[in-house]
Amino acid sequence: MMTSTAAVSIEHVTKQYGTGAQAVAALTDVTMAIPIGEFVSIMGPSGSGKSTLLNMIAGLDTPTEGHVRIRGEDLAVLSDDARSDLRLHQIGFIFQSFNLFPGFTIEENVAWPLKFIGIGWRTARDRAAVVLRQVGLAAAIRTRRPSELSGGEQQRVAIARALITEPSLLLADEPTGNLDTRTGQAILDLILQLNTERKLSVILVTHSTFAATYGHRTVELQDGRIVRDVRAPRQAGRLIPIGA
Amino acid sequence: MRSLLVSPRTFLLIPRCFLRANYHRLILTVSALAAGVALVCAIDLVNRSVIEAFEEIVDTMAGRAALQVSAGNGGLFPEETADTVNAVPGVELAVSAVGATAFVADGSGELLTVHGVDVTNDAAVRVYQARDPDRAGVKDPLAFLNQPDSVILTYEFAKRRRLRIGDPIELETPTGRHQFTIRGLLEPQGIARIHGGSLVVMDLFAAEAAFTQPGLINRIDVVVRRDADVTTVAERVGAVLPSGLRIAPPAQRKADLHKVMQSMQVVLRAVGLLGLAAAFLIAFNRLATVFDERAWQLGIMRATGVRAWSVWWELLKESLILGALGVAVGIPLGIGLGRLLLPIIATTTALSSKLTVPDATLVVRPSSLVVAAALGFATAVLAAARPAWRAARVNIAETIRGRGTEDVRIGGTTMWVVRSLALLSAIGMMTMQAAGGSPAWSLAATGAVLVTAALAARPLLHVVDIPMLHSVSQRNASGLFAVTGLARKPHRTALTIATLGVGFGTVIWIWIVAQSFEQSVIDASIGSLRGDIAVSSARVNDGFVEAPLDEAILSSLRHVAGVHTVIGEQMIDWHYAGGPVAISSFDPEYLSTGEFGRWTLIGESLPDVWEGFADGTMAIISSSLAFHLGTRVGENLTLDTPSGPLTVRVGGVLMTLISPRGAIIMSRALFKRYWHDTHVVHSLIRVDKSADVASVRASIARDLGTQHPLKILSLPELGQWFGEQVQRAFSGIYALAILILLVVLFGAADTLGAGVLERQRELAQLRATGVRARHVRRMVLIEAGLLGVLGLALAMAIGLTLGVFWVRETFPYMLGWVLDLHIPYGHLALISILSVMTCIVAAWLPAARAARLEPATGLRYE
Ligand SMILES: Nc1ncnc2c1ncn2[C@@H]1O[C@H](COP(=O)(O)OP(=O)(O)OP(=O)(O)O)[C@@H](O)[C@H]1O
Ligand SMILES: [Mg+2]
Repeated sequence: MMTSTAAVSIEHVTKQYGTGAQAVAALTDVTMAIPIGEFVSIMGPSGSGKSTLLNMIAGLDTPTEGHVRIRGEDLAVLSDDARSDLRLHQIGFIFQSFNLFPGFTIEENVAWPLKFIGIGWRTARDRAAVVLRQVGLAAAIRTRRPSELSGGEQQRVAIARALITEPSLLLADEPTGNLDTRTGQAILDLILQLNTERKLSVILVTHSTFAATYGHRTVELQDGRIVRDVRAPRQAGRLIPIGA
Repeated sequence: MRSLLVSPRTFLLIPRCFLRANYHRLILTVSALAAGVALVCAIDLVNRSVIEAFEEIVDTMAGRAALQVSAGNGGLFPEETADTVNAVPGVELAVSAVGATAFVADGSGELLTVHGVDVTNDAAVRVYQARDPDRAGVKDPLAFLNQPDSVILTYEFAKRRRLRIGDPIELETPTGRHQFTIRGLLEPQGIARIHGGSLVVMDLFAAEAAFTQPGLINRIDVVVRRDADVTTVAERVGAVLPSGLRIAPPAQRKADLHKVMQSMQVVLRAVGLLGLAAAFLIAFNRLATVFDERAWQLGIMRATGVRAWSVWWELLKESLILGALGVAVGIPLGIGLGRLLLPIIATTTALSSKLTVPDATLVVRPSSLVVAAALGFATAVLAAARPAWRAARVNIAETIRGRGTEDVRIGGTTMWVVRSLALLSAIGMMTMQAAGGSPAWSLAATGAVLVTAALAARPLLHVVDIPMLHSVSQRNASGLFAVTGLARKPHRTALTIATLGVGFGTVIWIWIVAQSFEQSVIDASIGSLRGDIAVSSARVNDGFVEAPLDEAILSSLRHVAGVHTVIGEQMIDWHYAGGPVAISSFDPEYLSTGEFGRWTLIGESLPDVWEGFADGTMAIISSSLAFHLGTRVGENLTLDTPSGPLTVRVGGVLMTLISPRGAIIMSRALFKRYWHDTHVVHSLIRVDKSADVASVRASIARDLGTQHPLKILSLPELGQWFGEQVQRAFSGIYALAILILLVVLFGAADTLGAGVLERQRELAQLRATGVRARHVRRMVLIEAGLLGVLGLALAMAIGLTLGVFWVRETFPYMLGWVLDLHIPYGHLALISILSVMTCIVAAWLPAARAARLEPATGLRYE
């Protein structure tokens, strides 16, 4: 396994919640490597462990067994602060639900992570404006609150926030789950564009077989195990589901 | 820290964004902080201003005089003593003076400070003038002297009453009403300024006639030569003075003053700090709610890569903003409150330290404001520190997934260790205090008790939880929801209970102390005063003591129809064993005839104590003197008197509250012989067997009322009157207790209201699933009621523990009073009802709103 070149490498990861009789195995002996610049789609039924896997990769949760490495660095040996820094600088995370801050304006919701990188607020706002344009949002909504946006718009703001730090790895947990086909496709196109232009590594969790076709590779989970891992020619942009 | 270097706008960017949505919900938290800051600020300003005002009196009273010779507070000695002092090397001038109080006899009873000096002696007059002696305007010095009814008043007083030179003015003196003529007016400077115009200057001769006795004075003001050392001169003068007379520099008097006022100020400081502690708990509780509520957002921040430490720091900045708001509101509020409290506290201090009430003005001192502001910020930041740390350390994955619920254990071993430590230190400090420690132990112990109680809230909740679940939840569904609502967030429920407990507990504590004091005074005064009727001047001098009357009143009273026996009591402040004591004296027949009944002495007493008392060989001491000086029955004590040393045997011990450090009670015949004092403060009367008390009272008023303004009371009424005086003395404390009560009521309302608001979404869900609005309301009310009752239980525990501790252990040391414990059950019931009502009303408003809400509105994305 060429850990040094992989963006993410997961080695025999098992995650158990609870102990004894009540123990739930969310992941069981999962091993996979994602080279830099690869776009992986992860599929699987509800409760199969997809979100758990993303949390392990982002270092939000620790595996019961096994190791997760980001660009060769074992998360287990990193301190909490070092893991935080890794997330801040390297990883963009789009959460399953919108998770915008209700008290912040749209602009603030997108720009705040830059403040913790040490970028001045003026620059941060300019960068936010650029990213918001990239995800297809009009400049006029910048001063609105999340509650004044539609679900699709909110999701695009969440994506803008994940991208503003220019991460090298994007973790997206069903980013298009709540969106109509057109909007969903536009967002997937954007991610794909970043993947090809900037060599952004992408892990996309999705229920949609169509969305999964954007990836170089599709991994399917079931009951916490990898049951399928296939490379398929990209069919992105064409409305032909993979299995149809 | 990098973020410290950027502009304030950027520095506070994130906290401002977060707070923006919450400001309206934090108004009460800011109010609580502001109230705490205001309390501390006001008390500090008032304490300093009061001390300063009293010091100024001491300074100006003395004028240029560096030293003062006196015999206790009001003891008389011959005028010639001044000559002895004048002869001492280093003394430039020794001025005989009479200091006293008189009252304007126009029904207003306004108190005037009498200053009697030899007006012909220019050098003597100049001692008291601030500047420009010519302006002390006596137009015709010869006329002034030739007429013994001459007085000089202040311009201010004359203007207020539209009086002019040559007008008559009637004054009440110990020998009755006397008419005087105004022969001069003083500019408001020097000694005239201090008394706010309430000063009357008369010739020494006239002052002796009206207030002491011819040839007897009560003060010598000593001016020391510029080239002489004050301390050396004081020692030399001390050596030539007859025993019983003392010489003290103003600095010494100031030190004494500080000692007298210290206890009062310590109590006030404690109250202020407790107010801040209540504000702390309220802020702690409220911020914990706000941060908890935001846990998922903090989880997102952490997931995006913000370090735990940075999250904590951002949260702490919010508390800085709140602290700043609290300080910004609290400081002006404190200054205003200080202005309101100043006269109350000045009067209270004057009453408890037997000084003239000064015309104090509030000096707004930057240092006081800085201290209050710093404490306010510290309170806000400390209150935020732990909730912020808890919030920053969230389990990221869990919070994002579940928007987290709380850990329901009572806390790990660490918390139990902390709880035990708090309990042990509370017990330890109380023991230290009981073993004779300083008041500081008492304050520390009070703090420790509060901390222990606050920490006990969580286990208390746990203990009550199970039976509560059964009894309440079985009745109805609302009850079940309410109880599970409380049990689901035990940390916060416990905090709310702790806040209520500490707040109401403080109020209960203060109330018990004040009540015990008041009741003890009433009991003790009745304990030493017997008879059917007590007659005294209607005027009160300094402190609680009525203005003295000449003993001629006794024989006048004997002539009133229906009066059988009359007994006089005189009371003065004196010094014994290096500190102040009171000397109380009763006519010997009071106890020897048995007609007035006998006092109940505490513990053992000498068998011939009453005979010894009557013949002047024995004295009775107060329980506080026995407590402080360890004086025992049978021992001899020697007093310095104006006529030389006096040795008496201690015949018994009596519970009385005349003076904090203690009192010595003796025969008035003996007292008159040694102190040359023929005044009485109380005349106690037994009426004829056939006579009716009410009609005798009426006769006294008719026969003697024209000569003196008299207070003629039956004994129970006198006790009540004493109680009222004490109540006046404590009015400052009551005012503060009510202020704290208000802060706590606000805090309780805030916390409970916030708890309901926070669950709006959940309540809406209940409504959406078909629960009736009425049930939602009832559920919230049951919850609030339960919290109120638990908080109150804790408050009772705190209040009673501290109340008993302060009355039994702290007060004897701090104020010198040995008190009986009186628990004001009626007031406690009132406070209880008030607290539970507040909890219910505080929950009712948001509950009604939540119930009225369209379920869809409540469910909308925040
Ligand atoms: N904190 C937890 N405690 C216990 N079990 C958990 C916990 N978190 C997740 N699980 C369990 O782990 C399993 C995997 O959960 P996960 O959220 O990864 O599923 P998922 O594939 O993301 O599902 P979905 O498509 O519905 O989002 C589920 O069975 C879930 O019940
Ligand atoms: Mg999931």
